[in-house]
Amino acid sequence: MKRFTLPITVFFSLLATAALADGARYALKVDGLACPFCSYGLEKRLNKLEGVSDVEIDLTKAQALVDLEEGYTLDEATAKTAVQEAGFSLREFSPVQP
Amino acid sequence: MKTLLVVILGVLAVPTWAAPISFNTALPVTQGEGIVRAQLIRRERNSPGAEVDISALALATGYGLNSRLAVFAAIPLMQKQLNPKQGTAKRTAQGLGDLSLFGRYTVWQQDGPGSTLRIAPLLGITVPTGQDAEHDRFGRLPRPLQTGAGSWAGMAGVVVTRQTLAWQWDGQLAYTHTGHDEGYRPGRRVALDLSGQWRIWPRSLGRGVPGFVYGVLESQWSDSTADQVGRKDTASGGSRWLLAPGLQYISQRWVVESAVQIPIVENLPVGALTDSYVARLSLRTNF
Repeated sequence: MKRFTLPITVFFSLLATAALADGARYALKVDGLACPFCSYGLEKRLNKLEGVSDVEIDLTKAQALVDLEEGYTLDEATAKTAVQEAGFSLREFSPVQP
Repeated sequence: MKTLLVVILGVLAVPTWAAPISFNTALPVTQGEGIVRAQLIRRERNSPGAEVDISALALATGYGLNSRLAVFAAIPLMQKQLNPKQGTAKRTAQGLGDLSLFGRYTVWQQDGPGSTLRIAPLLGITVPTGQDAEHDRFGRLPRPLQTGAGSWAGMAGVVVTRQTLAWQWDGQLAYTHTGHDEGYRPGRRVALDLSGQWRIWPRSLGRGVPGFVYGVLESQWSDSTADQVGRKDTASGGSRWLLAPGLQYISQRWVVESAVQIPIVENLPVGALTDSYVARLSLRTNF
């Protein structure tokens, strides 16, 4: 059984990577974000956007990376509204190239 | 004895919403999201004739109506105990206190990468939900010992917050206008609160959203008019300045914090109760 462990792990890792690569990713530079507790509100608000599969926040970069499911896109106006509703300001919006 | 009892209440500073430990902040509450806080408070007060112990569990919640307007509610469950140093037995009141409701509107906001500066006025009321006619074996408890004031009160103020990734300070100026009920009116109060919070761990920030530990120092200056109990109570009111060192642990979902307020200056009338300390331990969470 042990000899199958490595190939199975590699297979599923590749599968997961492929799945992530299917959707679009956007980088949102967010101003006003300066503590962990506040960042949770932004994360929850961005997660409510249609098609969002994952949100990663980095406080030092003042950035939120938003991953979308395949077939979905995010426009700047929608991102700006979501960031404002969380109480912050969107400074920069850009798609992340794979 | 009556005078002694009258000065018991002072103002139990029911914590409302805060990033500071003993007052409010101007930091945002996300639209459609809520925050809840539970705070344990222990306050001991002293006079030549008696000691007064107040223990409370104060529950507060906040909800973001939109990106600028948030509403808050706070109510304490409390026990007040009067321990005369001579003679008569102790007297105790316990139960729900008065409900505080207020709104906070951000009128000015300047955001930068990893920093923000916000100004937000506060406006609120206190609803007399606490007990104001409790009895013990000696009869009706004195009004200041009841868990509720028995009357409505209004509060207006402004809070300013400057926050960076390394530190934060908050300042609040607030006025509480108390009402009358059966001849009793707690003193009207103005308070200036300041809080500085410095990140002491981690020293340098890595990727993602690490938990922070803040060292905290808070200052509270307040001035109250005398209580009215049919007539002006000359052993109540006055001004106080308290300092509170504290600690906070802040993660994305939770904040655990504690501070102890210690009197530095008390300019009080003769016979008034002085504060020994006010200790606070609280837990906040996003929901």
